[in-house]
Amino acid sequence: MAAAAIHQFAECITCHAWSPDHSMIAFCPNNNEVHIYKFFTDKWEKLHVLSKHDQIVSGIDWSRSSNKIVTVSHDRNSYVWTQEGHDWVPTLVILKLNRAALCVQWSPKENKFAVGSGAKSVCICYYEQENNWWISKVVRKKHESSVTSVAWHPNNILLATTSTDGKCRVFSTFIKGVDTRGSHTSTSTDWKFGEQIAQLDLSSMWAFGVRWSPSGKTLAYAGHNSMIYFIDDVETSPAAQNLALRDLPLRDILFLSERTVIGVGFDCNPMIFSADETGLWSFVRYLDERKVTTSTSRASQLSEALGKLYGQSKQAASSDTVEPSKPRGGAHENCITIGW
Amino acid sequence: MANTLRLYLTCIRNTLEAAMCLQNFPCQEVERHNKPEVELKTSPELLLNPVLICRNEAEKCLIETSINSIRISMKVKQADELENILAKKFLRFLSMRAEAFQVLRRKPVQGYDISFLITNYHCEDMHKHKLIDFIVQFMEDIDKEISELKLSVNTRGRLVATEFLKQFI
Amino acid sequence: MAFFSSGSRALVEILTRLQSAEQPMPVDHTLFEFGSIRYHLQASMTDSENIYLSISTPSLSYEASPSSGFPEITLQETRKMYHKFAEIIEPPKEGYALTLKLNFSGLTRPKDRIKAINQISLLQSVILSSQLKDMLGNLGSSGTMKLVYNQRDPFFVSKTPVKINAIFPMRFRDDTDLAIASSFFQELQELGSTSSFTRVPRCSWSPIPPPELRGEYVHHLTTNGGFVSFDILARHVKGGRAARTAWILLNFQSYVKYHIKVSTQRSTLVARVIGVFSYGNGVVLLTVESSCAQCTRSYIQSRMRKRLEIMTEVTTSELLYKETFGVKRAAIALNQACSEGVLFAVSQVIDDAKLRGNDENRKKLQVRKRSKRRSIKFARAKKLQKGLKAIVDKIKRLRLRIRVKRLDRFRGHCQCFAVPKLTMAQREHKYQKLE
Repeated sequence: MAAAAIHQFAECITCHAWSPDHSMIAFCPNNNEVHIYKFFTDKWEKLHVLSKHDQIVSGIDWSRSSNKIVTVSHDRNSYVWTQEGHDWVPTLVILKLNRAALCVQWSPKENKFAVGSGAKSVCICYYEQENNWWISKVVRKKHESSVTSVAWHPNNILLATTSTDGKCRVFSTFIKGVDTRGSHTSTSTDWKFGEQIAQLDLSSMWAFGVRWSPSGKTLAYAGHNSMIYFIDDVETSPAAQNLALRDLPLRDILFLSERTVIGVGFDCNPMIFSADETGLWSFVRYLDERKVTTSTSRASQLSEALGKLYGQSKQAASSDTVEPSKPRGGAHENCITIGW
Repeated sequence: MANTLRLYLTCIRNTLEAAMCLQNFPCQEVERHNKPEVELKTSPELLLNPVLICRNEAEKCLIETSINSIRISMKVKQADELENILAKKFLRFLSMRAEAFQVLRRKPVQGYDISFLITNYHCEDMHKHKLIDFIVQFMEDIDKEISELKLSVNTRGRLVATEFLKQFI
Repeated sequence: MAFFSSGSRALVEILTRLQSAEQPMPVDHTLFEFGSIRYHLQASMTDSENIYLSISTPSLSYEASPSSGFPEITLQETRKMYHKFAEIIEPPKEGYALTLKLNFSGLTRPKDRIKAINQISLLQSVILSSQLKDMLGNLGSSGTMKLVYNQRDPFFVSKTPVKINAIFPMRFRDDTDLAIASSFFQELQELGSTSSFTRVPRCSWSPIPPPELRGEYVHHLTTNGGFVSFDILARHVKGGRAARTAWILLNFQSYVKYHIKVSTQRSTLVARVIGVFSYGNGVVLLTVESSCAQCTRSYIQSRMRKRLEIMTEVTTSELLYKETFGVKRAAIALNQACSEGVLFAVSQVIDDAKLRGNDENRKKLQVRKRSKRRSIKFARAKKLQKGLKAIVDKIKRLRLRIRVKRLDRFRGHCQCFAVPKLTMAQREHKYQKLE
C-alpha cells in the first residue's frame, strides 16, 4: 500500500495525535510548540500553535470523546488543553517529576492520563472536580530506567509501561474516588494504586512502544534488539511469543484489530504483523510497497523520505484498500517515531 | 589489499547502519539536560555493547552506541614511522578543524586516532545513509591520503636528493 | 636550491650597485649570512675607487681560536684568487678576520667586472675550503676531527690515506622532521648508488655511529636521525673541485633542514638583511630569494588543507542534509544575497541547489559566484524585488520537482506543499562536545 497522502509539515516531527474525527492533527515540529493543522477539502492549514512548553514536546494525546489535548515535554511539565470557542486553553498539570516527561496517554474513560518520564517513574494524573485541578500520583521505585511508553488497558485500571531497562510492566492505577470497584473482573478489585501486576523481562535491550489489543487480551511491545513481543492474558496466565525481525528495531506499534498489528521504527517502513487462528503471530509484509529486492542502502533513502512524512496524511480510510478491518485512522499512528 | 579494505569498510558500514538508531533522549541523571549518553556514561543501561571491528592489529574501528548518540573511533594504518607521523599530523589537523565536519570529535578517544560523535540531532538534520556514507568515505579518504602523502614525501625526498647529488657533478 | 649556491647574493647585489652607480656613493654596511658569517662593506666618497670588504666567519673547529686570524694557506689562496683586483689589508678591520681592498678600476670590460664580483661573493667558500685543507693537512695521514660550521650541528671529518670521510650526526627536534628526513636519507643512499651518480661521493646512512668515530664523546654520538657519511676520494677534491665539495658538505645539514622546513636560520637571516637595508643610507635593495622551492613540511600542510576542503565539501554542502533543508539553505543564501544587493549570486545559488551532487560544477560555480559577488554590486530595489519574486517562484518549482519526483504514483490524490519559509531553520539544539 502506498501512503494515502504525504504532506510535509516540518522537518522532523517528534510526536503527533489525531483529533477524534481525524480532520485535525496536532504535532510537535521538533521544538517546544505544538501545531494543529486541519484538513480542508484539498489541503492542510495551520489553525493553532500551542506554545506553552519551554522545551521539546515529547508526547501528545488527543482524547476521543472529551476533545482534550494533553501534551508533555522535556521541561517536566504537562498541559491539558481544552477548546473554548476557537482557542485552546491550557491548564498546567504539576507532574511532580524532576526529569523530562517522555510519553503520555489518555485512559480509555478519559478521566486519567499517564505520563512516562526520565525520572524512572510514571505519573497517573486525574481530575479533581472540587479543586478544578489535575492531580498527579507517581508510581515510583519499580522502574530501573526511563519509561519510554505507556498504554492503558481498556478496563481503565491497568497500565502497561516499557522502559529502557528492557522490561515491560503492568501496574494497577486504581484511584479511590475516580475509579469504582466492582465494575471490573473480580481479580482487579483488590489491586491498589501502584501495585505491580506483572513484570515481563523478555527483552535484553530497551523496550519501546507498548500497546494493548482492543480487547485488552493481548499486550505487545517492541525491543531494541529488533524483536516484537506478544503476551496473552497478562493478568492471569501470561503466555509470550517473541518475533525476531530482519530489519532495524521498531519504535512503536499499533493494534489495528485483535489480530493485526502495525510496527514502525528505524527501518522507516511500517510492517504488518498478524496472528492466525491459533494465535501465532507472524510478519506479513511491509506496508510501503517498496520492493524487497531493492533494499540496498539506496532504497532506505526513499523510505526515509517517505517515513518522515508517512501518514501525517489525511483522513482515515480514504485509500485504505488493504486493511478493510481498520478500526480508525488508517495508517496514522505509524509515523510516530519514523524519520529521525 | 584493496579487497580487504572494502570488506572492512563494508563491515563498518553495516554495523553503523544497525547501530545508528538514535532518538532524542533527555538525561536521566541531571535535570533538564540532554547530553550524548555515550559521552556521559552515567546510565549503563542506556549504553549498548561496543563493537570493535579490526582489519588487522593496526587498523581498527570502535563503535560505541547509546540511546541518543554513537561514537565511532578509528585507528588508521601506520605501517612505518613516516606513515605514523603523517597520520598523526593529518588527523590532528582535521580534528583541529572539527567544526567543519560537524560530527568530528575534537579529541579522539584514548587509544584511537580520530573519533566521530553522532547524535540524534545530526540524524534529524541529515540523511542517515549519507552520514554513514560520509564516515566510510572519510575512512577511505584518510587511508588514501596517507598513502599518497607518503608517496609524495618520498618522491620529494628523491627529488631533493637528486638536486643535492647533482651539485657534485 | 639557489639559496645554497656558495656565492653571497647580498654581496653581489651591493657590489653591482656600487659599480653601476653613476656617482660615487658612500656605503657602510654590515651583513649577516647564515647567522654566523659577517661581512662589512665600506666605501667612501673621497676614495671611490677602493671598497673595503671585511669578513668574519666562525671557526671550523673549537681547537683553532678564531681571533688569531686565518692560517697562512688561506691568505695565500685568497691572494692567488683575487690578485687582479684585490689586496689583503694587514691588519684586518677590528672584529673581522680578513679585510680586502677591492679596486675594480683595473678591469675595464663590464664582463670582467661581473666576473670579479661573482668571484668576490665566493670569498667565504674560498676561505672555508682552504681552512679545511689546512686542518686536514695538520691532521697527518689519518685521524678524526670534529668541525663546527653551524654551531648547533658539529660534524666529523675522518681521514685515512685513501679517502676522507665526512660524517654528519643528524639530530632533529621533532618527529615529523625526523620522519621526513629519514625518507630523504633513504632516497639519498639509494640514489647515490645508481649509475647516474657514480661520480659523486658515496653516501651512506646508518643509525649507529660509523667505526671512524670510535673514541668520541658519547654525547656527540647520540642522535635520533642516525649518521650520514660521505666518502670523499681524491678525485672529488682535485683542483677547483675542492672548494665546491667542501662547500656542499659544509652545508649538508642546512640543506637537509631546508628541505624539511625553512630553517629558523634562514628566516632570521632574511629578517636581518632586510633590517640592515631599511636603515641603510639611500641604497634600497635586496630581493630576497622568495621563489625557493616549497619545503616539505609546508607542502604537507598545504596538501592537507586541500584535502580538508574536499572532505568538508560534503558536510558543508546541502548534500548531506535532508532535501527540504537544502532548499531552505538556498533560500537563506538568497536572503543574504538579496540584502547584499547582488542578484547574480542568487540565480547561482539556485543553480547550485540544482546541481547538488555535481561537485565539479559546484566548485566552478562557487568560484564564479565569489568573483561576481565582488564585482557586481548593483542595487536597484525594484528590479531586485522583481527578481526576488521570480526566484521564490523558481525555488517553489524546484522544491516541487524534488518532492514529487518519486511520488508520481500518488498523483491524483491531493497534494499540497508548504511554501518555503524564508527563515533560518532552527537548529539550536546542539550538543556541546565534551572534551
